[in-house]
Amino acid sequence: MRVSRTSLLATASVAMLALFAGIAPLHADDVTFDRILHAEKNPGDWLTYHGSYQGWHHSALNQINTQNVGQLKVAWMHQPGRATRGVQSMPMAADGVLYYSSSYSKVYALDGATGEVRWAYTPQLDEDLVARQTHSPYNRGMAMGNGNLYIGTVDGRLIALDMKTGTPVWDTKLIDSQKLTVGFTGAPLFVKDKVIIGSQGGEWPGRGPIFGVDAKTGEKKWEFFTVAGTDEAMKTWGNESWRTGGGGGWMPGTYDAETNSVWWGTANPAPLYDWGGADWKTSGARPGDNLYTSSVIALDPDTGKLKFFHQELPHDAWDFDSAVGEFVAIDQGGKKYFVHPNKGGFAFVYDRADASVQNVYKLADNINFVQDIKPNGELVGRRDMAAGAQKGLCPAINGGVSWNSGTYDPDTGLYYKIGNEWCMDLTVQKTTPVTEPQVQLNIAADFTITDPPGGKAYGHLDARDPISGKIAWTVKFPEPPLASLLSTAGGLVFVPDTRGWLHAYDAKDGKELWKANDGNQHNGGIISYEAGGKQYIATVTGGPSLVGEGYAKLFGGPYKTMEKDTGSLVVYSLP
Amino acid sequence: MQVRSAAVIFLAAALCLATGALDPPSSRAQATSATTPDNSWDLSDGDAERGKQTFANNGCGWCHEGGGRQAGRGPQLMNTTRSDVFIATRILNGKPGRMPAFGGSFDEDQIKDLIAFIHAIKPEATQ
Repeated sequence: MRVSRTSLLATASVAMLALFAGIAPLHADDVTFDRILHAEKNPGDWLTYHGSYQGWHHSALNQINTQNVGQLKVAWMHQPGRATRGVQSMPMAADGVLYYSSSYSKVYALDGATGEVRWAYTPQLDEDLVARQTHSPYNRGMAMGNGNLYIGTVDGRLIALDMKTGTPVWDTKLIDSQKLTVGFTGAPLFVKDKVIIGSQGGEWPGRGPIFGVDAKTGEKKWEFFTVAGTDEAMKTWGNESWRTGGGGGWMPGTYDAETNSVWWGTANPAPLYDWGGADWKTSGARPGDNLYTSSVIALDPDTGKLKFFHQELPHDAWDFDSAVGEFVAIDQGGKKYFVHPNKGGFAFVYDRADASVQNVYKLADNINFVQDIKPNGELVGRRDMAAGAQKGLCPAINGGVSWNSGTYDPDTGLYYKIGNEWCMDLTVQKTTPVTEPQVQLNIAADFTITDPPGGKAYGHLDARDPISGKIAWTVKFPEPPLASLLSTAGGLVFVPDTRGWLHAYDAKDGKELWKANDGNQHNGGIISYEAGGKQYIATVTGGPSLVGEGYAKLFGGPYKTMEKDTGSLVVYSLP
Repeated sequence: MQVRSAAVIFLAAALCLATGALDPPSSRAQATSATTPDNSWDLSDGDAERGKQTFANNGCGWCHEGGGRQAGRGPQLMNTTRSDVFIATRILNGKPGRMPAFGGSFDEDQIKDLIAFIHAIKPEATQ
C-alpha cells in the first residue's frame, strides 16, 4: 500500500523505535491519547469521529486513486437490526477492526477485511422514554481510547465497552432524560483521561450540558452549562428566560493540544423563533444575547472551565446554531486557524489561540436572515421577526449547511463542503414558556419549506480555499446531499448522496470518476481504513434523517416511496 | 386529570392491535384496565382554539407544516380523512421513528382540543 511520504517516514520511524525498544506491536487496546494525538502516524486507522483532532475527514491512504477508482466494488456489507431513521454514525477503525454504531446505540465490531462479526452490543434502553422522543433513536458515533469504546444513549447515559469483547466496563447516567426527554445522539470525544460528550438541547428546556467523564471509572468530573453557564452569561437571559433553556452540544468538537482546549459548537436557544422583533434585547421570549447558545466555546478538558468563546449568532432567532461539530485545523501563512461552519450557511475562520474571528464567508447563496456577516464576525442587517407571517426566510430551518462534515485535503489545500439552497415561509407564534418538559419541541412557529427565489431547491459541493472561501470548482446536486464527505491521498473526494449514489470526484477539478448506488439514502459518515494491507472505503446508509424526512414533499420523485428505517454499512475496495 | 404512563399506553396499544380494535382507551382512570377499551371519550367535544395553542406549544408544526395545512416531515392534517379514533390513538401512542407518543403529556381534554383544531384548519387565505 502506498501512503504519503510523510506518513510513511513517520510510520517507519515508529516501527524502528518499537523494534529497538522491544515494544510489542500496537493492538486495539493500545489506542492511547498519544496515538490519537498523532493520528497521522497510523493512516490505516480512523480513531476519532473527525478522523483526527485536525478535523480533516481525510485519509492518507492512496491505494485507491484517480487511476483505479473505476474498479471500486462492494467488498462486504453489514446489516444492523432495527435501523430506525437509518444508520447516521461515523464508523471507526483500529488495527484492521471496524467499529460502528447504529440506532438505539447498538454497537458492532467487525473484521475489517471480511466483515465477520467479532461482537455486537445492544444496550437496554428505556423504550418508554424513547417512544416519547422526537430526535431519536439515531446515534451518530462513538469515541475510542484506553481500550474502550464510548457511546451515548438517548436515555441519557454514557457507556464504555471493552474494545476486545464488547463487554460494558461502566455505564453512567448523566442526564435525567425522563424529565427532559433528551439524551445523547452525538459522538463523544476522547481527550487525555476524559470522555467528553454534549447533550441534545436546542428546542427543550434544560441547560444543554457538556460533560467531562473519567475514562477509566465513568465518574462525572465536570459539567458545563451551555445555557447561562457563568454569571456573565446568566445576565444575557432577560426575565429569567434561561429557564426555557436550549443550547446543548449535540455533535462532537475537537481538541487543540497547543492551548489544551476542547472546541465545541453549541445549539440554539429555546424557543427557536422569538417574537421580540427588533426589540429582542429587551422583549420577546428570551431578551438578550442568550450566552452560550449558538456559540463556539473552548473548554479546559481537565476542569470544564470556559477558556474563551465566540458567539456566532447573538440571540439566535432563526435556529441557525453552531452545533455543527466540524473544526478544521489549517496552518496557513504562519497562522493557525480553525474553520467552523455555522448552520446559517457561513464559515467562521478562527485564530486557534483565542477564537478571535479572522474571516467569515458564505457557504450558501440564498441567505437573508442577515444581510451579511463581516469578516470580523459582526452581523449586519439582522432580520429579527415579530409575531405573525414571514415570507421567504433563507436558508430554511434545515440550514445552509447540515450537521455532517466536509473534508480538507492537505495535498490540494482545498476544503470541500456541501451548501444547501432552500428557504421557508413561517408564522412566528407567541407560546407559553415551557419549563416543565415532556416531549415538547419549543419552536414558536409554524413553517413551510420552499424553493429559493428563481428556481428549485438544490445542493452543491464546493472546493474552496479554507481561509478565504474562494471557490476552485463546484458540482451541483438536484437535492442537497446530507452525509459527510471524505478526501483521500489518492486524489479523491467521496460524496454519498441522498439518492443512494456514492460519487468519487477528482479532488483537483471536480471531474466525476466513479459512482455506485448502494440502494439507500446516505445520512451519516464515511471513512477509509486499512485491513490486511488493503485500503477500504466504508460508508453507512439509510434514513431518513430529520432533514431528509422532508424530501418527499419538497422534491417528490423517489423520496415519496423510498424505504424508511432501514440502513447498513457498505464497504468498498479494489478487486 | 390523571395522566397515564406511556408504558400503559403501549400495553393498551398492543391489546388494541391484538383484539383488532383501534379505539383509544376510554379514560385516564380506566387506562390501567385497558383490556377492554371502549368508546366513552366524546372526541367531538374539544375546543379548537385551545387545541391551536396546544399544537403551537408542543412543536407539532415541526412535522405538520403550515400549521397542519401541508405535509412536511409528517402528513397534512387539514381535510384529514382519518377518524377521530385513529387521530386520538396516534397522538397517544405515536409511531416509532416518525412521531413521538404524547400519551405521557396530554390529558383527555387536550387530545379532544387537538382533534377539534385539526377539523377547524382552513386554507390560509380564508382563515
